[in-house]
Amino acid sequence: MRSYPKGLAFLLISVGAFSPLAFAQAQKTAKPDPPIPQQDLSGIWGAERGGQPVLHADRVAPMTPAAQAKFDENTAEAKKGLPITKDPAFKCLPAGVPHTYQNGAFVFEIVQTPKRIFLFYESAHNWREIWMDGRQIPKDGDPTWMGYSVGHWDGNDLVVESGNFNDRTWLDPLGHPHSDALHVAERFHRTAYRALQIQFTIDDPKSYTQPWTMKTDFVLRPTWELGESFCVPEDSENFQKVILQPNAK
Amino acid sequence: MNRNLCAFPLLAAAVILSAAPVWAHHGASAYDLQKTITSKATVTSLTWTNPHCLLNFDMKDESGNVQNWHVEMYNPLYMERAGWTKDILKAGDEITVTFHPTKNGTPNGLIRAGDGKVVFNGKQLSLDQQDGSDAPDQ
Repeated sequence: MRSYPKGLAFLLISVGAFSPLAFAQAQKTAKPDPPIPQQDLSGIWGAERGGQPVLHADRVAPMTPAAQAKFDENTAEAKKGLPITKDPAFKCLPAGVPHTYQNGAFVFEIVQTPKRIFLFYESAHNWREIWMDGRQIPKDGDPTWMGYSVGHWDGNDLVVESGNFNDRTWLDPLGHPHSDALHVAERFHRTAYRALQIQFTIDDPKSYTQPWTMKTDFVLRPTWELGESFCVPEDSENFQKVILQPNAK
Repeated sequence: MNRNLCAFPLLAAAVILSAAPVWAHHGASAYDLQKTITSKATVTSLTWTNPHCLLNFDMKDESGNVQNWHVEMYNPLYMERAGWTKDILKAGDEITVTFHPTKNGTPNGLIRAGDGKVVFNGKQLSLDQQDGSDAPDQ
């Protein structure tokens, strides 16, 4: 959170030597951030400069042979210094979880209702529903692209458990695969009024020898609105042809 | 700096070390992030679609030959939040552009916030999203 000396506005005004930016910053000192709301994550959240959230993993757990083979196939282009073109999201397929958080320079909105929390991802105009009524993830439920999600509050953290995924998405843009045994736990932790961190625990015994974690950070964007941003296959194909595979022109 | 580039008045290449984020939607491995090209150019079109807007322009190479470049920027919603519109640049507009070229020499590149620039009519077009939210709304 930014902090400026309270006398700054007076000083700048009194000498008459302020830029519009400095004046605007000085005005901010008069209106400090509210305290962190309790069990309320409502709002539009986006990344800092550059706009794209980044899923960061300190360490990826060792892969099973089957997952390693998929990963090698997914990342064959990157090993040659070329852009990755095989991400299923590039074909406008749903990005999956947690990949949907890092799928371009987009924001997402959290909308809370008494029994459900909705996550609206601007990227590819995608959304998820988190059941907050105490139910469990259905056993042997049909596989889905974005998973079946249930949540609860742990203090002021929102904890979301998701399962019943299919195996057709990547965990991230780096090509990490998963199976239909994937279970994702998300912990939404608001570190300040304007700051939200989500930690993801990836548990997929068919693909990784042990659980591992990723995390990503967001800032609140209270003045923004979600825009329409569908993934259009022909636009995506044109981008691939022009930019990602320029030698194929 | 390449001597040939220096000799050509419309093209200057600079090697920089940048702290800006390196992520594009699909990664940035195709681009030489240690190198930037700054040049005058003539806009041929602005592609305003997902996943990335493309700035397409004609630019002369060291030999004076005109080549059409396709340089990726951010998605349309990002660009709108940075103050752009789909009509902000039109075919024939003269600009000065700073971007990262590809490693393999194809006429493609990357313009990103931090070290990319597009200057039109003497004004630099912002590549940073305008937040306006530093004053809380409640």
